[in-house]
Amino acid sequence: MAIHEITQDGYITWRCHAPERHPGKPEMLRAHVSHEEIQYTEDGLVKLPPCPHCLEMGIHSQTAVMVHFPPHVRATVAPELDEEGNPIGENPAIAKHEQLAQHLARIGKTIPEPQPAIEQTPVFTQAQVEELVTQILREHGIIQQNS
Amino acid sequence: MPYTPTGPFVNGSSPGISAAFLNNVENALVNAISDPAITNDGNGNMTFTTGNIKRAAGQQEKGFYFIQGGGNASGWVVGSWVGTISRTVTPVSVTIDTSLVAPTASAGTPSTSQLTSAGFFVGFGCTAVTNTARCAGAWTVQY
Repeated sequence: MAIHEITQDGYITWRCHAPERHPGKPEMLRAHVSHEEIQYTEDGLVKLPPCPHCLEMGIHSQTAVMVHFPPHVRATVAPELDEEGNPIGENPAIAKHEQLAQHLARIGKTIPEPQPAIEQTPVFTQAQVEELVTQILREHGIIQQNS
Repeated sequence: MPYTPTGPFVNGSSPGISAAFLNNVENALVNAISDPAITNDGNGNMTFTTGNIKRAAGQQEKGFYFIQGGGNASGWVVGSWVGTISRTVTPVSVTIDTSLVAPTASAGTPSTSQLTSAGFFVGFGCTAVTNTARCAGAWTVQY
């Protein structure tokens, strides 16, 4: 869910996307930007902490918000509308999410470098495979012992 | 906006001619037929000759995902693209959960990336060698 509110001292509130799962417990979630689970993903989204009430039920529920809006993206975010459906301004989530990015920059949280692909080391070399195959074929008499 | 009926009407009885009712009917007709790019054949088929289905600011789109796959080492990523019905407007957030199938058979916690006007990617890293790692749940995209 989009950020509902962000305070000047860096506390953010947002709503669990399935509050009907935990009746009687708060719908709104709150954390400070310094929370260890508020982190950038490699592609620039910001992950918020998972809903603690869903976690108590064994369900991991986590929101990722967009915080960087380059012009070509900003132009495609749905604008705020009046009651008759006419655009009256920028989507209010943009300002709140950009505030989050500013808070994160102040405390040194940045977009991580992409993780390198895992180098797969072959278990056997090509020569070892050929030797093993030859040995098996010999043992089964398919090829001569001295070939 | 929900429409409140004025009728039913009865011959020779009230309610009589009502400007409010007639204006509402006319507005509904204008809304229904004024866009030549959208036609309805009367059999439940709507045709868009141009344009897209778009969500407005503050609206949500909801759905479910299921991902399954394998990896021959810890860290292998299993995932899938989730396409939204809404197009051309970029969302501001995406939420996923594991309410249908908790991470099973060496599946890590799922996460999202590549949030765009056409959808997003959901995936998890395998935590060990596996051929049936899986998880599933609900998602909400906010506009």
